[in-house]
Amino acid sequence: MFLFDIYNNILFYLKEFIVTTTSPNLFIHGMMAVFIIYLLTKRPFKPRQNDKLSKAEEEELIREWTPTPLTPKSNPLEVLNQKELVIQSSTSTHVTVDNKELLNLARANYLGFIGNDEINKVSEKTVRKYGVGSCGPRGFYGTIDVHLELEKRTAEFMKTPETVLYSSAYATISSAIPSFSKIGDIIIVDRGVSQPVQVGVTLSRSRIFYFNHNDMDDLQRVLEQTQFTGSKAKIVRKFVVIEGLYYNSGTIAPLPQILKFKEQYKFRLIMDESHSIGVLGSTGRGITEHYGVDVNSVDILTGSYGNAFGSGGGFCCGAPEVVYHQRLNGVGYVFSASLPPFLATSATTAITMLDEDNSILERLHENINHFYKGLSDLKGLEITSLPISPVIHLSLDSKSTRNNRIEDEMVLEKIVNKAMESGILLTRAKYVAAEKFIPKPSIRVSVNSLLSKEQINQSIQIIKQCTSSVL
Amino acid sequence: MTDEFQINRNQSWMHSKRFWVIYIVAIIACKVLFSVLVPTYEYDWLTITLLHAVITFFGFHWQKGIPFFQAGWSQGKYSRLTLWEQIDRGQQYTPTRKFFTIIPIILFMITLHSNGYKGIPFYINAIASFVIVLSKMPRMDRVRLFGINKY
Repeated sequence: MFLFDIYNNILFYLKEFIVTTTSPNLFIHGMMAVFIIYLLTKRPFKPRQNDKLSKAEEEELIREWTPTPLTPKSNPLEVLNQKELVIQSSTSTHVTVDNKELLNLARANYLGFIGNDEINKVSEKTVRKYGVGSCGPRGFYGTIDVHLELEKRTAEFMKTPETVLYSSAYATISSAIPSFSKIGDIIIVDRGVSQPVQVGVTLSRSRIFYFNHNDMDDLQRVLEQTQFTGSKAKIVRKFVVIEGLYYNSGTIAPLPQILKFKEQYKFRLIMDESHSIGVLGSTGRGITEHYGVDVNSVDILTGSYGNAFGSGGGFCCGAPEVVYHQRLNGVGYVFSASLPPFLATSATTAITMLDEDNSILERLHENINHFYKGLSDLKGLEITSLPISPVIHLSLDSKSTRNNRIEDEMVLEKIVNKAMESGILLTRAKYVAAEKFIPKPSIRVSVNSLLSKEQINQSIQIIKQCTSSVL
Repeated sequence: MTDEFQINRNQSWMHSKRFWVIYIVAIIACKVLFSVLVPTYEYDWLTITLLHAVITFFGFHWQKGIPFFQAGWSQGKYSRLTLWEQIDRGQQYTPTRKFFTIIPIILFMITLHSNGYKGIPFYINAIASFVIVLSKMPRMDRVRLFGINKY
């Protein structure tokens, strides 16, 4: 009965439609219906499979096309940074550029181990025995006895339980951070860290918080802000990332205060000691020795063999768990070919030499002190680094600065060029444009222990002359 | 053809059946809106047909290239093609094309039924629908009549 009702209804509306619709209307409706059926029955096809452009169209296209430049236009700073020197030969302290011997104050060779005879001999012997490269990553035929020896020697030197070796100093910190800190974890970073640390922090994909450079109140503020309680606190790992000696500013971290915070707020400390190992402390064991704190209170400590030890590669030391974790999770360790054997032996030799003969370090400290004192009455430039730092940053003071990065860099570049004419090689501190916090422009002087008093006095004199003539 | 593996996001959204349902519902919603807001207005279906024709004409057959996305991957391949010509990489009579062709025809039929076949309303309806359906025909693919909108 019900179905019949519906049928009647439909019939009624259909009848009404036909009755109210006039004949021309119905005709057009019918045409449209036929057209729709025609459309629906058509099968897909691709028109003009291989159609060629006509000559005129081709011409038109060619005329319209303007090529975009292959490389983006570089700004004045990039042009300035493109200047390259060709070094013809190099000794421990000097380099030859354009047949002119210059005193090298641009290279991080703090203990003067680059070009050391004994190390050269050891390297040569290793090259004759093992060849130049090791054949693969550490986990894949790349481990040689010299690597294990260096790891053992470094652990002994640093007085930590274990050490893991990386084949590049840059990759050390930038794979140590991401191997521990993952998505959802918290990283608190000093604003003054150098580029490898910034890369590592970015690669970790964690939540990143920054605190002002060496500002402990600000660190405390951030720590308070990231203090979680309850179930969330258990699963979120928190790391504070600092550098022992900040390469970008020549300052050192207030480690005792940070360790106090560590007890209070419960975080793990990652410290990059690339520039402080072999420099700070009475026996060159870095910032922990400088402050007289236990090395093992720093959870993850990375360093470089490239700066003080005159070799290459980096290391990360800490508790056995920290090290074993990196042997499977440190990207730079797992996926990169291992350190060339001769660099490993030269690093081992350098560590041994430093341990045996502490006078190199004392000379370095003296030289730094001497250089610092000599430069402290410099007019126009101010030293922004600390008197114990082997990296001396000279930046324009408030009177001579133009308050414009590019102009300041130009002025500093002029000083560098003048100094090169007078016989010393200086360099501006150059930064990657993508860095988040770029320090103010400066000349970066790297002091090493091989410089004699006369050389230091002479270079101070030259820097003073060049500065006064340019400013 | 490398093109086979690249999704042209400019047109990929048009194939979704959900979108078709939303499309039809939107047209019906317009009609309901007219009926509720201006019950005495007798040309509501005509207005909808005309608006639909104008909007889709400029959306499908006038605007060329990929206006809303980074199109570097296409290397300018689509910069001279309208959205209609980009659908299914130029394949004709595909389900998506059939759907978007039938919609204006049905709108034309509805308007014809409600506004008759005489007078200005019929001509507006007929011309708008004719233009919009003609532009969708395979014969009109990449054809610019009288060089209109050629570059």
